[in-house]
Amino acid sequence: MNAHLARLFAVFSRHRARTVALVALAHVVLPGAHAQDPVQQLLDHLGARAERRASFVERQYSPLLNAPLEASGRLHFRAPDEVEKETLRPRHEWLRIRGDVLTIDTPPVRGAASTRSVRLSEQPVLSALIASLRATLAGDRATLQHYYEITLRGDAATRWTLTLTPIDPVLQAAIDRIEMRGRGDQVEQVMILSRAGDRSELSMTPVP
Amino acid sequence: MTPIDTHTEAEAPRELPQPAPHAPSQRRRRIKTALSWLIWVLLLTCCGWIANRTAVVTDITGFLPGPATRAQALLATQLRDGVAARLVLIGVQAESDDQVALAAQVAQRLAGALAANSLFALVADGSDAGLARERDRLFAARYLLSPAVRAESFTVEGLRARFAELEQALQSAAAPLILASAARDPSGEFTAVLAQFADRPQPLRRHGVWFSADGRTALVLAQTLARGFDGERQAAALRAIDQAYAAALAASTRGVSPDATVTRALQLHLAGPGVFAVQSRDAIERDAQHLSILAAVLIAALLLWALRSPRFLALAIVPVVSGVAAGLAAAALAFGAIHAITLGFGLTLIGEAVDYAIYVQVQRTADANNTRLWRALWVAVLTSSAGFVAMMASGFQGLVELGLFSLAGIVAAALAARFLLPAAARDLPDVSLGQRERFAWLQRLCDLAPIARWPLLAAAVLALAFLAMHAAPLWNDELGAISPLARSAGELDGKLRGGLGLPDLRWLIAVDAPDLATALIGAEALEPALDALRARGDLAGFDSPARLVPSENTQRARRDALPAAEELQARLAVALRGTNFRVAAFAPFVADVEQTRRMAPLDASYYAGTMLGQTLANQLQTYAGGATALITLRGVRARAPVARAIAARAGVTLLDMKGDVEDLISSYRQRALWAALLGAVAIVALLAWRVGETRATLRIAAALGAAVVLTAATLLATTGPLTLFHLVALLLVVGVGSNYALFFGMSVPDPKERAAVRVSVFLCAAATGVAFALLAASSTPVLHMIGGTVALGTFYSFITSASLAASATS
Repeated sequence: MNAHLARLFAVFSRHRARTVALVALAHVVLPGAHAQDPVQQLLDHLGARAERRASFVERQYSPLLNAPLEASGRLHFRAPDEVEKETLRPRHEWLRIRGDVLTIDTPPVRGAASTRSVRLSEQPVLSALIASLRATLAGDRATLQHYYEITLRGDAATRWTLTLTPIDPVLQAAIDRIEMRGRGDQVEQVMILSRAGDRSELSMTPVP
Repeated sequence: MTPIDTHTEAEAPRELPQPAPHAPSQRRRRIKTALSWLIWVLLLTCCGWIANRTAVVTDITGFLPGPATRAQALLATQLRDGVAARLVLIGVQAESDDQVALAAQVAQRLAGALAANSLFALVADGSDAGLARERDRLFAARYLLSPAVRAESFTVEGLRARFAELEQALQSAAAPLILASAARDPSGEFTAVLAQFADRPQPLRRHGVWFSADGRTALVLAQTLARGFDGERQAAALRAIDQAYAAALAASTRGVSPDATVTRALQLHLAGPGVFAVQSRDAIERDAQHLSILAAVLIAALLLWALRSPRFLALAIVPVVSGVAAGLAAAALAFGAIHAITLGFGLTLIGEAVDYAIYVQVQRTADANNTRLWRALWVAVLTSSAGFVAMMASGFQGLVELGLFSLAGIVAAALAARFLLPAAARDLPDVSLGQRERFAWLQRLCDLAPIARWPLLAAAVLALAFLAMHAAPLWNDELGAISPLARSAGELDGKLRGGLGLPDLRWLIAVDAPDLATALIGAEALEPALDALRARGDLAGFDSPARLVPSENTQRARRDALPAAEELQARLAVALRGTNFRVAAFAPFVADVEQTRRMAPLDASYYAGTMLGQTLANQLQTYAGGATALITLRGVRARAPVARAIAARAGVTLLDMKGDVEDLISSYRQRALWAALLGAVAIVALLAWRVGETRATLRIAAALGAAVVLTAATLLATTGPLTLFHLVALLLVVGVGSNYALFFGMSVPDPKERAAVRVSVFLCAAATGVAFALLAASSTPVLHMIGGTVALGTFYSFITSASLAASATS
């Protein structure tokens, strides 16, 4: 890619957010276009389930580590905005997100308090991370588009990969992209890639 | 110059028709008159010159109680001149939840514009960029600031323990947040630094900016370069904020909505010492001008209506002008400056000085000596003076100035009335005859008034019982009640301050030392005691400047605990052997430690340009010959445990800014109460001496007592607990009312003269009532309270004087 092209690309990406917003607007205004949009189709499909339970295994890859760290436990989602994540191994930890409030119960690490509550509206990076999972499961396209540019490979009928790229510079500094893989109305894996080269992989298996 | 024109005008027709045989005595009298006017002009010019070259100040601290202790005095001057006084709190309030995002956007644009403006030293809106600046400074200095930095933490065992904790943390939900800095800060020193501030109230953040607790008002904090009480430059800063706000609003609403509903949905609020100084200055100046003009016009209209004599009106200006000039000159000589509030209070002098002209004109009889009139006039002056002297005796700086101003004013007005008016007014038509028809209703009313004697006494007894049995406290000694700031301003300030998590500065510990380094050592030494108090719940938290700027010894000790780069690298290799961590990945950690080893101990300037720097500038004060470190306390449950914990430490003082000031106001009030009682006794004694008859004195005293009791009860029932200002105003009521009671109480056998007395008292009461009622319209609390009280008291005094004090012979 020569320098001219690169500059053109930079200008384009600056306007990308607006382009995405315009596309979104077109979908609202034109119901015909709506039905044919695969992203909307997938999100509608995902949002149709009001409750999900899954067991999870989370692997943390990092340049600081020789081998990934592993944690496992249970996940519970209830539409529209409640997520519970209970880590059982290696240590018990309980995390619940409901509306704007995140509550976390941890075994004390470095003397920090064991129960803490955080307002998501005050934590832009955290709320973006949480939105990736919660809004995807809820089929909430508006929230996803508030933080990310969305691209989809595959479609709702078969295997798919939804890639979320942060729009906001503050988010861009922390997160490179988030990839969600799934099949049909099931999300099977959430992968968060950080700018520093860390990678977190959350694999889920539905539990009846 | 009107009085002088009047003088020549008045004199000429009088002198011309005099018959020749009396020429020598006429000439003597003429010379005497001319001489008195000459002296008057000279004195007036002199007073005018003094007053004119004296600055008018609007610094509201003169009307706040002075500091209670020497330590507070020091603190007050530092705070007044310091950074705290330069703070402007800006709130952009959204009317509805839909407008919150717009408010945030406007606040952000406003902050950006102000940050680029040279009038402001610092602007903060809680945006990520601003917070990141603070975080970066704390992060870079973490090995100097963290209390967890000890030599043991950097041994092989210490490192191994720290990395085991890190591994646990990376398996928790906090992993993404910890990973971001783990390579540079594996031991979590930054978390330890932040934990020290964890109990500090955190402002709410929405849409990337600070918001008030209710989530409706976006907050911006600005610090002006100008000092808080530099009125002109503060006003310029406020204009800049208004302009920047208008521009930000226009930019944010462009294309959103063509109509004005969106712009009206937002409101700009400003608070802070400088803002209030400008606002109260404007209010006082507006009051002083508008109300004085209105008072002059209304009183002139009253006199014109009553006496139908423009020439009398011109003469009545003489005592008014004399009084105002003398009062201003006296205040200027005594205090070196005249306060704008005193100028506002000056309008009451119009109402009082005009009384003397009315007495002279209306009660002047054919008897050239007017002995009775002059004696009554002097008693009136003395009783009014007693009120003002008691006002000065309160010791409250603002009241002393008002008292002195009024005292000098009425004495000068009375002298002018006594020595200038009779000669000048001699040729005016005898008004007492012409009045009779126009004031027939007044005469009938006064004839009937004694019927109301028993109901009035009963009402007074009831009022007394109400005062005695009032459940709520009779007195309000809170600073807010008498502060020259409007109450709403204080509430707004509290709301914005609370929203930003700024300390309310009620409880402070001052650590005084010969220099700043020693003061910081003292503040640091207090931390274990304060931590213990917090653990016991005696206080909710504290902010010590020593947390951000630890003493040099502590910083050196922490620095010395850090191993050299090669040593640390070697220990790290041993500690991480057999773990999941890669040694090479932690090179940034080793580099940061090495960099800290080469850092000089940091001081307050390290935080310049951040909110932390702003806080420190308030907490660390240097002055000639010493320095003070201030520790702010939050949620103090009781004074005693804190006082005990810090007792017996040299240079350490616990300050309760609210409690101490309230104690001080209470002591002012008690002094004023004693002065008032003495003043009342003096007034009654004067009356007894003047009247010379026990029954008449008792009647007059009853009239005065009833008026005061009724006024106090009405105030208590309508405005709540009384303040220091109400108290001194009640004494003024006694001073004013005693004149009416005295004149009504005089035994005047001649019905024509009696009618004249009634009319004059009525006109005086009306003029005084108008002046003080206008003062009550002032937005400055001291003027408002005194005005309302005296206006009400004048009304009651007139009624009780007419009915209770009226001589039995009438």
